[in-house]
Amino acid sequence: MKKIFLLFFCAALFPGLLGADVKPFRPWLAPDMYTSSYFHVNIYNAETSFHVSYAGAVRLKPGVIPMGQLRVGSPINITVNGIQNRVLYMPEENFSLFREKERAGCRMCLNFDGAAIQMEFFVRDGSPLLHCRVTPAEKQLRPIRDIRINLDLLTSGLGIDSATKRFKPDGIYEREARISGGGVLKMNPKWQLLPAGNCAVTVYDLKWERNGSGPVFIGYDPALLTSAKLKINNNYMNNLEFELKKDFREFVFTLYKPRTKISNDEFFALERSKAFPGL
Amino acid sequence: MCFSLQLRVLLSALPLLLSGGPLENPALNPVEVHAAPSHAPLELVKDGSLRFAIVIDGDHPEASRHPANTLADAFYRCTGKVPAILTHKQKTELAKFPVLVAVGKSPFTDAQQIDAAKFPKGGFAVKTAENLVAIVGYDSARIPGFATPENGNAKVRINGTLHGVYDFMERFLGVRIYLPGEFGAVWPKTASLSILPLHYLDYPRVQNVNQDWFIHTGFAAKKRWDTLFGPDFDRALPVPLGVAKIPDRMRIANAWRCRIQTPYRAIHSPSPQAVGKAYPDRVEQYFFKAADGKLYYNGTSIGSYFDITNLAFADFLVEEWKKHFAGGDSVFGKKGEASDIVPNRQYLAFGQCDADVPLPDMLSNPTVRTLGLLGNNNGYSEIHSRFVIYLAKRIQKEFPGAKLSIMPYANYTSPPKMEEFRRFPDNVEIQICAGNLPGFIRNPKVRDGWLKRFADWRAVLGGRAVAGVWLYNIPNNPFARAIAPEFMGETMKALGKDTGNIELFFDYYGDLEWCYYYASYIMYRSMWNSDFDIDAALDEHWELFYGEKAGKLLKEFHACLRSCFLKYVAGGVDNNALYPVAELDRMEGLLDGAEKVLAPDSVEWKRFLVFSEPWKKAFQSQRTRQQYRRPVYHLRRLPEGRTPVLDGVPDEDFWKIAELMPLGDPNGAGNLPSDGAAFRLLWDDSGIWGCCTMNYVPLADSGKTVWQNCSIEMLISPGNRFDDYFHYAVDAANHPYTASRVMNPIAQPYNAKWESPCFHSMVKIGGKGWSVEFFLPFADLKKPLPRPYEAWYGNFVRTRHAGEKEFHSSAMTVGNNHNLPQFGILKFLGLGD
Repeated sequence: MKKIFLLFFCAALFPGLLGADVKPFRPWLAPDMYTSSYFHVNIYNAETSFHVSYAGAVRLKPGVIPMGQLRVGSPINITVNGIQNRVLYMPEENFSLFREKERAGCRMCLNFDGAAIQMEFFVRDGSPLLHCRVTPAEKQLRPIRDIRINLDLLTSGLGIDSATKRFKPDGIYEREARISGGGVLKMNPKWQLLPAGNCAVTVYDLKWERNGSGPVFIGYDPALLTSAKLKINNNYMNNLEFELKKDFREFVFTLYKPRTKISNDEFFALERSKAFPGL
Repeated sequence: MCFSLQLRVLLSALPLLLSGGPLENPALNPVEVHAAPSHAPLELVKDGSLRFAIVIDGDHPEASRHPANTLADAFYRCTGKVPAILTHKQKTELAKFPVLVAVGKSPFTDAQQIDAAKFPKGGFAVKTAENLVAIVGYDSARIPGFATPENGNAKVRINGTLHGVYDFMERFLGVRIYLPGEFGAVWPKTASLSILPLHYLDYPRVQNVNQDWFIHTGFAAKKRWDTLFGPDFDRALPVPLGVAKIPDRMRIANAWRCRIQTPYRAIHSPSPQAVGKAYPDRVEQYFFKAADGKLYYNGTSIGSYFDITNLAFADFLVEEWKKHFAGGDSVFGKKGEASDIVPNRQYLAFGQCDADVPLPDMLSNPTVRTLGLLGNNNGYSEIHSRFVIYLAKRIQKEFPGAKLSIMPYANYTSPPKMEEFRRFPDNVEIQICAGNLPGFIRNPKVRDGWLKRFADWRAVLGGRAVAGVWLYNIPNNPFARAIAPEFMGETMKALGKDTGNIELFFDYYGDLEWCYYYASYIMYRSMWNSDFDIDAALDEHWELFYGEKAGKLLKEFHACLRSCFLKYVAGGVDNNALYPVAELDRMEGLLDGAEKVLAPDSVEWKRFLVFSEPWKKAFQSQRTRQQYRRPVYHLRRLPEGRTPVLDGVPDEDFWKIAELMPLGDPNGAGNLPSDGAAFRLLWDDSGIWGCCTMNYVPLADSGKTVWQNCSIEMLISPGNRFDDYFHYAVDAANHPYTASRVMNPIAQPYNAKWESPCFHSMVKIGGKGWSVEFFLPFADLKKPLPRPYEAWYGNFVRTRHAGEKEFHSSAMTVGNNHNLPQFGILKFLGLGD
């Protein structure tokens, strides 16, 4: 934890409109869940801020596999050579903060039994987007044969029903996704392959706008992908999965998710005014 | 009687009448009060001077010498004066004393027509007469021919008079013996003592309370108690020159009414080592051999594993008893001398010890299979009963009049269900090992289960009650150990007519610990008479022993201990129950309060130090357990292409990448290894490689077992379901040990015979310490290899027997290394982690 505090003080030396700092954080743990490493970072610029957290946890319950989580608001699941990031152990030394001239964020190295990747989450000066850059680590003990990034997209509508005091049930949503060039994908519980040249997705809900989490925007470079596919569920969760080329050198995707309740039109207006990439 | 004398009698009796009198003191054993004779009060002590002599039988002085010495010692401690001990023949000297206290049978007691031979065994009477107090009991020393081999060895004695003396000391001098040592007893200063006319009797309701071993353990743990009682606290209290010394362990045993009045004993007998050593060529015949050829005998294990499916083993026992009684060497002792009370002409004991053959091996035994002995969902009771019935019938024929003493124990405490075994011969006496009594007697489910079992055994015995009960304290948990023995009387009353009166044996499950003396004190009284009022005895004791202020606080502390025990330990049938923080706070506050009101270095303060000895750590342990998070050990992968050389010296560079696995206090009380010992583990596809370095010279005797030497243990449970676990150990002499236990889907007995052929270890002992390297092979587990990032459970233990005795483990298993739910996590990391 000494290192974490050092990072905290380093961040405190650069106060201002662009930065990243470690936030005091203890992950919520179920009674049968244990963790040995966890980080929680606030990445911010003048316009926005994002919370990135990692909890290398072990859930001990018969039948349930060990589980950790990387979250940017909602979970990001990375699978390399069949190993999911949520089972990994990430020691402190694999995690660091950085602040450069125009960007600030955190960097982590995830080792998948010898196949290691580096992930950077950062914001750029003047942009409301969160950037995620994935690169193979310099030293590899095993080759990367397969790498997938799966984003759980928590879109409008998740919340407590005021009448039942419970989470809203499945089957009440009316979701859509807008893709590059203005095309629209309808709700479908099966995976929908995104067009080869597509480089942006915005998922929103027609019925529950201004409720819950609001729309989610993801931008990406399709040239480095084998495939990108989307599942628009009639429940609180949607999924976007990237399958990277195994010889990728760098893959970057961007994410925007408002922190205030916002209508779909207001969100689309924001996308246009801020020139979100790929639309 | 003149008027003034009558008035004196009335006045002197007044305090006794108002308080109910010594004979009705509820804090003492209830006694049978008879009509008092008519005479003047007997002034034994007046103005600080003794007015009496103790008189014993001049024809048999040794028969009453010890009781007389005990009484003289008590008067010395209370008055500062030593009473004379005379025989009835010293008439001139006797005439000098206005009052005589006759101890034991003598012409004086004969003159009072007290016939102690008619008392129940160990019973006594205290009766006054003009100028005489008689204390006389049923003593084996006065029974011609009692001390014969037929009656067992010299430990069997009946000491009615001695019991009477202790009763007299307590009732009239106010003596209370709670602890050994200078401050362990209450000896009220007495300047005057007048005894009103009286006549009462009492006797032990149970013949044997054979606690020699446990009384010994209380004095053997010198290091623990010396600092509290003073060095060499196992000595006699000082006495003036010429007065017999009474060793403290004897005083405690007698004051607590321990006794062996009949040559009965239920015991693990014979010892497996004696059989194996005497008949090495027959080991395969007399010890259990599984269908796959695995022999359950290793020459050092205390577990018997006698093959009781083989009736030839019963024939063997009969032949050995014959040799014993013929004065020859046998597996029971040399030259006909038994090492214990049994065997003797009255009782022949047989008992397995601490060993269950695992179910799969027992199931495949041809006899068991053919006779269907395991088809009744009744443990091994049918197997055991078949053997017992056969052995008892052999004894009826070969040793007429002798009885077979056996112990329903382990997984055969239930009576047999198969009709052919439902009637034991009349020469069988049983002592049931009631594993969770007396502590859980207030739990209705536990109580009803035992009542039913005892009643059923009575039916199997043809309407006879079981001879005895082997009861247990609760191990390892101070909060339970301080209370559980209290319920002895209640347990006996609950079992009622189904329990006989031959023996009660209380197994402390560890040592007798003086810090819980109050539980032992009232328990032993209850073993004399289950009607003993334990609450009255405790109520009297708090202020008497600690003074008014501290006594009140400690009484409340004890009440809190008891209520929590009943609610959480007995109520939840949980030996190591966690108590709510509020209760712990309350108890800790009461103890702190008592400490503050006691004057340092006062007698009460010294007693308090003994009383409070376990609690600081016990509270810490509970609080640590409240916050316990399973330790996660990151098991790194051995670099590819590297293999440790198991030479006992972990000097290869890759050990540096292994995370250090710290060892801690298994009870959470904060004791850490004094030498900083810790494990390191690595893994590869073949298994787990480990090492442990310890900075002290170990006990490494090749003649001792792995449990007697310094050792390390590794317990691992693959997967995350606790389906089974594997137990490895190695001692400083590099003796290996492997065992396993299946927990799911049906828990099976611990299999101490499980083998791991590929398990290897090597020990290196240097000038200043020792180190071990070991390999736990996955292949022997017959489980899928762990995947990278998979988690298993584990507990790693180091036991030190050299110098400081220490016991540490990687998981807080609350004193039980096999406590699976408390195990830590072993997370198998990937290559490069």
